[in-house]
Amino acid sequence: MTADTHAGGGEPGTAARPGPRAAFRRWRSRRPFWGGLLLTLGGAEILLTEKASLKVVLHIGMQGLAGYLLPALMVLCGLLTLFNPAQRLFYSLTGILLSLGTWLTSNLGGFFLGLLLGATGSCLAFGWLPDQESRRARRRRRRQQRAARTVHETRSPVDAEPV
Amino acid sequence: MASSSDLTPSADHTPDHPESAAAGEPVAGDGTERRGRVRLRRAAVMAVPATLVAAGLAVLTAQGALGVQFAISGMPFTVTATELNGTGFEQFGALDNMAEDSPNAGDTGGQVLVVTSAIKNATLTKLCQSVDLGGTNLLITAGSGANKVQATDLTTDSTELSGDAAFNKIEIGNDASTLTKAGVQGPKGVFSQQADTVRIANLRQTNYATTAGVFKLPGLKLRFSDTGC
Repeated sequence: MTADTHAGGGEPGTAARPGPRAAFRRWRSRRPFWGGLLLTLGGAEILLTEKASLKVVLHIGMQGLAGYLLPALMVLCGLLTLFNPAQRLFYSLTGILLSLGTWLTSNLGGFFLGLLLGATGSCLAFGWLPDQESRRARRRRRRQQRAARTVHETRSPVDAEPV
Repeated sequence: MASSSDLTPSADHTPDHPESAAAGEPVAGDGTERRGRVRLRRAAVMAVPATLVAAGLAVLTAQGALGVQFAISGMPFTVTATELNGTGFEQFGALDNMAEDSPNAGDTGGQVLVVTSAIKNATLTKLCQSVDLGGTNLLITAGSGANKVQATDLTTDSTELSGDAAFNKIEIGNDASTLTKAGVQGPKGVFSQQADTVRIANLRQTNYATTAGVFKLPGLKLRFSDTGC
């Protein structure tokens, strides 16, 4: 197995190498890493802006509890996105709803910062797909197909599309 | 046009590509490593409606149509208002505990003596709230237009409170555990006072650990500023 990352990492391409860094990169490439991380950080940031004591929260009732509940669930969704990426669609959809909900329940979404992180993370997790070729290769392939289509004008356009 | 390919791993339709000759394997060399990636078009499917909803929430909040809940503090911050009108007012002393080993504790032993003010229903004109973040202030203003800021079950733990106050039917010297006007009770054996209505002009509070109920914030503006309220 090689671990070359021309497109993603920005490090010079190297052949397969052992070690924790390469292992971490392989682990990262199998899950929506940035999506899950940003969602987790967003929830944590919102939690950090909240300092109401438990007594007060219980006194206010459900609305006070929601202020803690939503960001806590955001953290949970982010972590689950990282450690159970198979269910990422559910986590990202729940994550975006929770992120938007914190605007109402938790200090304007942790003064907007946590909301932004959570929403970005959810979108990244939602848009992530496993086992993709690099962006550059995809673009190149598309260009070639477009060129091929213009050459073979008699062919139907459906044939030229990626199926 | 090519959006159909967004829904499937692109493994199926590249085996003939020269760059991905090893397409059957999870990774191939030379910049075409196969790994999980974010497909932008797919991410946009969620990002666009989410942005619209977020913008809608912000607009509704600014118009005062949505109540926003605050439960902030821990760092001292300042709240000012040109006028506060409230019904159901209570005030009593209390002791706030910081988190264990809090960096803000200093030589206080982690405890701060505060005055807790509770107001059942409050209306504030030209509310301004600033938090000193060290170097810059997070400034929130609201209620400067025709619509005023409205709050229910407002509870503030202040170290300083100033303004020109007028109370109706005030009772001074109650035990804090017997208060009835705003529905909050303090600890037993602590001095307290309560009143049916309260009006404070030129209100200025330094809140050490404030908690609050639900706010309606018409004309909300949130920004960073060099000066506080």
